[in-house]
Amino acid sequence: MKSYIAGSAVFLILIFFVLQWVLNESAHYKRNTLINIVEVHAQQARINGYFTPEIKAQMVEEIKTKLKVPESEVRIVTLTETPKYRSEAFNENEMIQYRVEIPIHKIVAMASFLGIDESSNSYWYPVQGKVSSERLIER
Amino acid sequence: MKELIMALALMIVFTISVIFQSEYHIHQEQRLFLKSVSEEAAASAAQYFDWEKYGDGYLVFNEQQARLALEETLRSSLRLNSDLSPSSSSYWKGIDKVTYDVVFIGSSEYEQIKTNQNSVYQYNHEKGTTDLMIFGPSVIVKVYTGPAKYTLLDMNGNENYEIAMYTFEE
Repeated sequence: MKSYIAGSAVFLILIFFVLQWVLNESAHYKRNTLINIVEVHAQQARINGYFTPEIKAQMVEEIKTKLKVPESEVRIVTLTETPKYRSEAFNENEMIQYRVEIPIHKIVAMASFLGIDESSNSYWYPVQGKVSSERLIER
Repeated sequence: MKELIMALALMIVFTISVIFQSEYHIHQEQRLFLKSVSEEAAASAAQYFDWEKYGDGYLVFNEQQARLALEETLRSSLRLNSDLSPSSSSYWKGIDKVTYDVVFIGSSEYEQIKTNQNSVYQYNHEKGTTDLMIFGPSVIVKVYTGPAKYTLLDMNGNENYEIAMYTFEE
């Protein structure tokens, strides 16, 4: 009986590792899927020369359904929304930029047990880059 | 007393495994991003060719402009400084300078490969030879970013590189 009582106290400490493993896996899934979604839509934006409103809406819609992040929490910091054109010589300003961030809320398992409040237990994960445009200047 | 020592040893093993799991996941995400960055670098390098000769049917790459475009893509996506060294917000801090190797296969080189070797191009690098099937004039880029960040376990020799190819299919 004594070892059962001691075991139930130790159980709380040992269960932390299992819960932390599970949270790591779910955060990894979110980050991986976000990279895939943003990169696919950036390739679509290359064809048009910029992130059209349809591409932007579709990207936010996919983030909302696949990652279960509400639309108010998808933070789009930079998205090129004016057309960029392809030229014969390289021009640094004619590249399409994007930076999309989502919040990852539960980093550490059993946060209230360890005394970590909710605002410290989340951070914004960004996907940032520049791609070249393939759109020709209409003559 | 014996149980206490066993439990402490198990706690150390669990801690190392949880930390290794999160570092491995971050490494894998950065490898996935590096794959898409290197493919994008090859695609932006392939945009710069001689327009007049392209009108005649020959693809001749403008290597200087292509390198500029490639470096700018790498610099902005991998967060490097202007001399391709990693900045403080980059993941690939284990190396002084991110290096790349680019091979331009224009129309004339592609004709040579087609007659010699049945459309297989051997790309040689220090880790061994990669055979790439080539279906048209292409640009091949290899980006070498060095070791990843692991704190507890010593992962020696985990050099990360990606080979990407952009082809104009005929």
